[in-house]
Amino acid sequence: MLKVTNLSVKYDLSDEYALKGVEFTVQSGERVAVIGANGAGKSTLLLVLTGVLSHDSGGIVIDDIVLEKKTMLELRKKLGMIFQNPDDQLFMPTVYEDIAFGPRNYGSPEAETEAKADEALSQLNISHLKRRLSHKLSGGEKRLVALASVLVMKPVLLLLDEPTSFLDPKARRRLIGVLDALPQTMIIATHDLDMALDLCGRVILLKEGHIHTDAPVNDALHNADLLEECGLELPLSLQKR
Amino acid sequence: MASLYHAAAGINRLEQLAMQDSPVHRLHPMAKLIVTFFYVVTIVSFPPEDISGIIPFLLYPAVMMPLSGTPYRPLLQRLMFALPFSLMGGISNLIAVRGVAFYIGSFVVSQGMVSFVSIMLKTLLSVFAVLILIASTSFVEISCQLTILRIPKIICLQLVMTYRYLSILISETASMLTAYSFRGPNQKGIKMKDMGSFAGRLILRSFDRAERVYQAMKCRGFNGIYYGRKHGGFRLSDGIFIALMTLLVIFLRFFNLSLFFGRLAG
Repeated sequence: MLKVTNLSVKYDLSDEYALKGVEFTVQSGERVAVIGANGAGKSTLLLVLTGVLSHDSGGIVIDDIVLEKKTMLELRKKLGMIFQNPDDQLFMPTVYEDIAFGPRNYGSPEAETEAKADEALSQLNISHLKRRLSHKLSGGEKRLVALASVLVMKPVLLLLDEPTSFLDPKARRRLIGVLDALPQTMIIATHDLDMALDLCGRVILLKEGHIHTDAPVNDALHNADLLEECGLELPLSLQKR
Repeated sequence: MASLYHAAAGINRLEQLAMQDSPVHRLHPMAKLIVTFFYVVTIVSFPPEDISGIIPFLLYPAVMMPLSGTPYRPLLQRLMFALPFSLMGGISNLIAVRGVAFYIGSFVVSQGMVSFVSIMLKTLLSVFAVLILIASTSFVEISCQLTILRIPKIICLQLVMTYRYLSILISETASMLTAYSFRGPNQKGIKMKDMGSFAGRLILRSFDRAERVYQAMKCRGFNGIYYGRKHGGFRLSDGIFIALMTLLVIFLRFFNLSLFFGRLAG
């Protein structure tokens, strides 16, 4: 599904690499949590995978297509990126206009676009939000609409950047339930280690732009020393009270 | 600060109004755009001394507002933003143009006064017409119709994004101001010495936000062209609306209804 080889990224005007020699593969249907302290390179990794940020060296192959300029549009059809702040993702006035944005860009006729939007909304049980103004929604609703705006494209790979941030416990729980029911391959960059424990089978632990550990979720997230070494703590559910 | 929150809410209010359902809302956006354009151009084309000719044009907002279910208050509030500009122009005419236009009893009405009233009336009617359009048609739809009228797509997109960003920018400013005032509770507004860093910070935040929104757009296949909702063709009601309004506007432009009724009464 996804193969990343020797990936290095350096931001303009910076001497340090944001990502250095990153290599991993993700199988179809797998859910991988990308964790690490602030500035470890989690969000950068997701942005590079979408092609929004260009990489200095290395290669990315998604669904047998090499990520390069000429394949960018085709690849973005297969990818769904959920940004950390849903307000950045919902830029159209109404929920429907926002969800229709992607299909329209790919030339989908209006009737088909509306059918796809309805399907995505009902998949997440938020059909009642269709005609609402995007900026009037609650944090949890915004997150679900952002997810719908991506699912409408029927992506094979979902990239989620801190999906549970800004959410109250109930909305968080609901979102985890929704994500758990989705069949897509997922890469989730998160500080919410409990969610990683609930949703993912594998963890990639980033430290200062390189992969420190790539291990099954139970091995990595139960290891207090390993997490501490990378500036993290045990998930709350595993901490002794 | 509260006024900033009100301003953001005001923009949202217009968007909400545009989502209502009424006979005017159901009209094709292009029909409303054409009629509004024609109406505004006709009003502007009146010579400054022809106040009586302009007055019957009040009929348009008087009919369209109740028909579209648009409340007067929000539109009047927005009108207040436009009026000061024409007020400036009007006042300068009031001072500079001193010739006698006519007498009311022994009271001399100067040409400057007539011109002042004419400018204010033209502004009032033009802004009302545009506000009625925005309150009954979503801004995105208007932008899409402009694209069909061969206005460059990049300009239409800029319009949509600017309109969208306006409320975001206002709320960002409001939250920065809130944070600022909590740390200086006894002062009014922003100190001059902090103004530069405040504005700079706001610009940086706006850039960051714009960058993230652009990234989100690119991830969903955006390639510089915004594809809005494709409306069906014109219906009979749209054709009737355009024909009726165009004929009415032409009639009122060349036949002075006020004078006619005045003569009848006299």
